[in-house]
Amino acid sequence: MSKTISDYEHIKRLIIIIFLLVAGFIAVRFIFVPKDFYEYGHYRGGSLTENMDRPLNYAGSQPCADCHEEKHRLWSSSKHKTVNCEDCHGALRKHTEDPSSVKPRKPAGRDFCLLCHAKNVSKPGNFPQIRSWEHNPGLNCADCHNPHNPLPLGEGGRFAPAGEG
Amino acid sequence: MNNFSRREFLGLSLKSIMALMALGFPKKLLAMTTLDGYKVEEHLWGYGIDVDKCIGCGRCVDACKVENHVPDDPFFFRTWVERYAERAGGKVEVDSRNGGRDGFHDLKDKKDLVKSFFVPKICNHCEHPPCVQVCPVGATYKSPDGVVLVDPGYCIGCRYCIQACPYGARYLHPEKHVADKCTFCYQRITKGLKPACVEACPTGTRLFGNLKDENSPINRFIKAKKVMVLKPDLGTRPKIYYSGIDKEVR
Ligand code: HEC
Ligand code: HEC
Ligand code: HEC
Ligand code: HEC
Repeated sequence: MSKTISDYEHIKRLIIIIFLLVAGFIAVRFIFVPKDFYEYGHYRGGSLTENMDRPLNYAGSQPCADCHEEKHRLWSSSKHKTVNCEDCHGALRKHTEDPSSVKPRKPAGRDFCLLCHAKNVSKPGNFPQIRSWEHNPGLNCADCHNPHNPLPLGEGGRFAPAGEG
Repeated sequence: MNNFSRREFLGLSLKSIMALMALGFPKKLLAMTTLDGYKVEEHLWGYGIDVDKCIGCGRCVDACKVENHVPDDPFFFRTWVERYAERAGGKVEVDSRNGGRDGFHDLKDKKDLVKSFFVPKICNHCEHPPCVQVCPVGATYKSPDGVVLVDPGYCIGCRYCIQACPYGARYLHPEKHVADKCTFCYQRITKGLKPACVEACPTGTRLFGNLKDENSPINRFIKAKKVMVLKPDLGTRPKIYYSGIDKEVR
């Protein structure tokens, strides 16, 4: 009887060792794996809200209407209505919350307009493009085209060709 | 033995199922996650790119960098624009100076040009993302609404994911030393706004929406156009849908 028990002695030890290893593994996991790991999958659940909580910089064009109603109205029925205010004036979320905190940029000169409108074979053919060296060189685009309603004639238009119309 | 009628058996089964349900057993499976009023499971985000409209102005690249504080250097991009030029004889050239952020000068050599066009690139937010599979620590993952995100606090900067991405959409952030990539502007889309690149696009090349909503811009786009994804043979199942590209775009 006592002999058979001692036969199991080494197995007992083995079981204790395995038990300790498993307990140790669980303890180490408990310490190092954050609580929210596996909340939704094989990652830290809290990372979702952290990604949500990053700061925003762009406001979109709609909020501008609250304070620049006239500009917004003109723009929203113009050829530039698909060009976001912030494409030209920069990221302005801070400005919409506190207008004096950020002075919006106002692109001047020709280069900025040419970013979109310079003649380029790779552009879709139906997009309005000009050859800068032929199209009124030396003059500011905004002298003739109101950026908020770029057709030279019509509301806010800045150009009526002398002798024509 | 036979003191249990079929009727009683069925009745008892039904009762025990109801009891289990009442105990809240399947609750976890059905649960909807709401984070700050955003119902995660009601969304599956998808993105469309209509190459026929792109003018290569790079406003998307600029807006992305500003919105997400991507380093200014010309080799870190979450989104960028490539110019394809196909020459007679089938040779295809691709260039993307500063990711297209400063626009593109006209091609100088137009002699044997067959066609040329711009292709905006971005993380494909794959249904089966290879980058997620290789991450050794679970620091990059696909969110329940289908966006592949990074957990910068958990990332060890080993670059496996950068190597694994077939689309070259990841980079190692030079200051934080962690992997960084497009998040569809997760901070914006979870508040009902569009990603900064979509907001900035002046021509409607880029569009975005909820694939679970029949009438979203992305579903209307997929229905109306013949759309393709990049490298479909890899089985990654991208959620960026392109219209107007040929097989030479990779
Ligand atoms: C809360 C009201 C408010 C909102 C919203 C607002 N602005 Fe303004 N904005 C102002 C005020 C006030 C000024 C004049 C500030 C000054 O001169 O210092 C101004 C000035 C400007 C200027 C001219 C700066 C100059 O140098 O002349 C521009 C351009 C501008 N805003 C663009 C925008 C755009 C684009 C938006 C939308 C993203 C916007 N604003 C939203 C109040 C607002
Ligand atoms: C295509 C580029 C472009 C877009 C789009 C644009 N602006 Fe401007 N904006 C300009 C430029 C350039 C000026 C400089 C003044 C000028 O020449 O009219 C300006 C000037 C302004 C000013 C200063 C007031 C003034 O008359 O000098 C305000 C305010 C303004 N914009 C608001 C807006 C708002 C609001 C929107 C969107 C609804 C918008 N802009 C869209 C280019 C743009
Ligand atoms: C971010 C790109 C972008 C910038 C910058 C930009 N535009 Fe435009 N512009 C457009 C788009 C888009 C249209 C609409 C094109 C269409 O209807 O197909 C347009 C239309 C126009 C048109 C009307 C052309 C026509 O025949 O319908 C004129 C003129 C024009 N822009 C002038 C300007 C001027 C001047 C500037 C600089 C103040 C400027 N644009 C800056 C994108 C831009
Ligand atoms: C001296 C005034 C003047 C200046 C300066 C000027 N434009 Fe124009 N632009 C016009 C007039 C007038 C038209 C319409 C008649 C025409 O097509 O030539 C026009 C037409 C356009 C068109 C439409 C072309 C088309 O094919 O539909 C675009 C785009 C344009 N201009 C952009 C610009 C840009 C960008 C600049 C600055 C680099 C600029 N313009 C400077 C007067 C001017």
